[in-house]
Amino acid sequence: MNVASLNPPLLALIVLPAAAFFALAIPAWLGRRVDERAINAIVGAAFAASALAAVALISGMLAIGADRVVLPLGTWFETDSYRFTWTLVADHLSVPFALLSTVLVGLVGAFSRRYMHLERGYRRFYLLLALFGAGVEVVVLAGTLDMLFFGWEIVGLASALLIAFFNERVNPVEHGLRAFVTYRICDVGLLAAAVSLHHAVGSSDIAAPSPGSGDWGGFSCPNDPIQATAIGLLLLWASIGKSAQLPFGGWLPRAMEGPTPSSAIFYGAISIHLGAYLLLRAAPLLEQAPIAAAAVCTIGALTALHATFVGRVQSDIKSALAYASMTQVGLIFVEIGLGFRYLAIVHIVGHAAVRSLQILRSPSLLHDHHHLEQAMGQQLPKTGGHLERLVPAAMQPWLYRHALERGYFDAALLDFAARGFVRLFLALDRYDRAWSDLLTSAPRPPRLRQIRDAQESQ
Amino acid sequence: MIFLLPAAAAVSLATAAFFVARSTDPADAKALGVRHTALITATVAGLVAALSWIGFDGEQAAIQALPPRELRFVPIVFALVALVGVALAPLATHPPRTIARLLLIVAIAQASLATTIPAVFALCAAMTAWITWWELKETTGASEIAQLFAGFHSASVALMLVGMVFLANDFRATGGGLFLLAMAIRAGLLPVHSWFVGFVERAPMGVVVAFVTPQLSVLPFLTTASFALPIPSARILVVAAAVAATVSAGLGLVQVEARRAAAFLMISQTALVLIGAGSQSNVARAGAFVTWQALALALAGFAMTVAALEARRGALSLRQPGGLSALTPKLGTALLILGLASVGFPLTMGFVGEDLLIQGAEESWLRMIPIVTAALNGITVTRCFLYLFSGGSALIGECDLRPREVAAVTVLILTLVVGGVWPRFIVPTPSARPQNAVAPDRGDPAPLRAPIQPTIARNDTASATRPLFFDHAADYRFDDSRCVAARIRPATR
Repeated sequence: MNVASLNPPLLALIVLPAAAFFALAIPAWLGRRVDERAINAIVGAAFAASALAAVALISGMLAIGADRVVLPLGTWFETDSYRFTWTLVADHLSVPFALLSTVLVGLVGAFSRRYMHLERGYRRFYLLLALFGAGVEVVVLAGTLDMLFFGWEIVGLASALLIAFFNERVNPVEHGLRAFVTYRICDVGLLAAAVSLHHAVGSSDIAAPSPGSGDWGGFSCPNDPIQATAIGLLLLWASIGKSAQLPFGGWLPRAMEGPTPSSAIFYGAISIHLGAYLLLRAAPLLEQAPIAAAAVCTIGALTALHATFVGRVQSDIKSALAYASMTQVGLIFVEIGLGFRYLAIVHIVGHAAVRSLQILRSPSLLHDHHHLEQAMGQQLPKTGGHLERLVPAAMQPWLYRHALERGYFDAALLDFAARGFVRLFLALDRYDRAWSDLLTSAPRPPRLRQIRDAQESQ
Repeated sequence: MIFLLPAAAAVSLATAAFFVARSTDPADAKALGVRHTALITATVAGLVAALSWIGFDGEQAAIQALPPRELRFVPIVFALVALVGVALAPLATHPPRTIARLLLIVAIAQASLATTIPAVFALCAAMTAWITWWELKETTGASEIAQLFAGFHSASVALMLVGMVFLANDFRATGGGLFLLAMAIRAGLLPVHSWFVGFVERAPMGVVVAFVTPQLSVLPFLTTASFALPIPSARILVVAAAVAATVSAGLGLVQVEARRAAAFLMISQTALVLIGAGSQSNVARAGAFVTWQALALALAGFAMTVAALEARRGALSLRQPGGLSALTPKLGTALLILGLASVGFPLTMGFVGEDLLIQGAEESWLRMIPIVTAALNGITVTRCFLYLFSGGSALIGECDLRPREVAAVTVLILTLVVGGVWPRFIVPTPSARPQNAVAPDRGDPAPLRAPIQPTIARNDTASATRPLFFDHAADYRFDDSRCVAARIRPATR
């Protein structure tokens, strides 16, 4: 066995979920009816085979003692001095993530067979699940930041569409749009980081780790510390959106409007950890950019504190679990910022498994509690008492109010960022309409106030 | 220099327009138009593939079968625009005469590819504007817009003609500036866009698509060396396009009517192409070229799906969710895919183009413009999809895309996806560039100063021109025009 023999399972990790997506998408577009059993079989088989491929890849790497398998897939396009290449990388970081993702997506797919039975959008759910699975594998196995961005976008779209899954209601749609807006704003950071890397070091490829370090490779670090810090901060900006960290975490509890299985896989297990994955991949760069590493720690710590308080006042289980996820991911950010990379990986794997299980069980929470209380013969003991002891009594009402208002972050974002942006462009739109009316020889140019009133009444 | 394939495609489309115009029944006219455009598209695509495969180039002949290698996909793109425009044209707003004009506009756009003579391009641009104005004049409720359209486009044509006269007499700075202004009006760049939004709101969407999506305003900057702008003019183009792209993206985001949102999306994305077109970097110019083709297809499809939905539902509001994708799944999917393709979503041609645009930008602030604009426009597209196809189940009886519409949209999506998966056919790879003509883009961004210069540059203090993308095209275009009878040579530093 040699390294080349590991290429087929590495490729299969991406190809199989993508094939499942197309196997569902093409009949859907052609208007062919596919029954639930066939849909489930396609997705189940694809992710089971993908999981086997991941196991084969890990076994092969262990057998031949390979720390890293690189599979160049060739040049996608090139012109002049620029070239976009496809490269897959399996190493100590990507392989655990690839295995975790494919296993959890497969399990959630199997769980959803009954959960989503006879649901109107059964095929749409599995279609988006397969798209998400393919996107995640592209993200984790990408050999360049450009390719990672490719998968990152797919994950974001699948996430937003699944939040808006119950599209006959208004709230899921608005929450899906909110999540997508957050993703797009933060994706600016990822793309800007990729372009900056190209211009600073000539490529966004994942370099080989230093020999004998037993570590994984990361993005090449620019010699200029200012550039390194800027790129590190851009990557942090991208991670904040995907991992629902402060100040953009408000979309996460709202994202729970989607079907519970997708909430489990996206916001309990995989999607929410992709920001952490990106930072782990950029760990060698963060080592050279202490300011960026400190920013990672600070954001993570603030998010953990914020989410743990806010989560305690939530009155529905899915929101509470969403804030619990934010707390843990915040702690993972702190670990990454401090350089505890393997601890962060263990934390991610453990958290993903436990949280997805909790979210999957959340619809039967009352049932579970009932069983538990019957078994114990008493009411469940109250939790969280240590916080009441730690926080001074005078501060508790203030903290409670703060938690109820979700730290005022949503309101601040709305008032100081979104509303200002919208007002500015609405004003520009008013002037634009008035100018057009003037040019079209309207009998009398409409007064700006009238247009503004009409806009506000909308 | 004459290229036979675009000329033949233009004649075929014009013939189709003639037969469609003779039809009295809108449904028959539409069916006839679809059959003709499908046949023309298939023939053009087949001929391009076959002739390229057998290497039918005829490098130096005055009459050639195919345009230069980089332009070969463009006749297919224009034919597809016609196909989608006709196939998705709502009957209520597209009587036979309108469909005929739609076909005629695309035929003239094809004709502009058939020759390298600048005067022919100017004539084609003027004729498309004139036909569109004629259509607007006869469209109910669009008479005011017709006046505005006439005003702006008369100015555009006049500026173009005067600019060409200056260019022909080698007053490159003045001529380039006037030509630039003419094209800015044509592209609907802010702040000379006042005709554009009303036009998209009121005109039959098929005519909008035929007039706007081939983006004739971009064509000369990308393909014709005769219109190579002096550095200051190119710089003005880049800055104006950057401002227009960003502001239009923001304006698109706050719209509450789908047509207005689509209009600002078109302005914004077209401005991105102009950023690349005015760039000194070959990578950015290649990106502009790919984005131009991707946008022509994707925006045509997006706009026509909006029109198709509007025909089923009436005026489309984005104030709150008010539709249901379960009723019209194909229409919803088409709108989402084509909209995302227009903003450069992965797996589509647009992604390739925008990646090149971003990577090729010379300055960091300029790199941020396509990134931010694509992000905002992506939100606009998703908002349109979610608000038009979610939230309300009260709508009943809304029919999905018809088989003919599905076929046209499928071809369009396949083209965008195939172009995204195998982009080598459409990404220009200049191989015969003069040595030292262009500074390397990666790691050593191309300078804004002149990499190459024409040997003759009279009366022009800023005589340096941009690097030419299509070098072999540059040679003959210079010969054909009376602008600058010079061959290019590498700059001496």
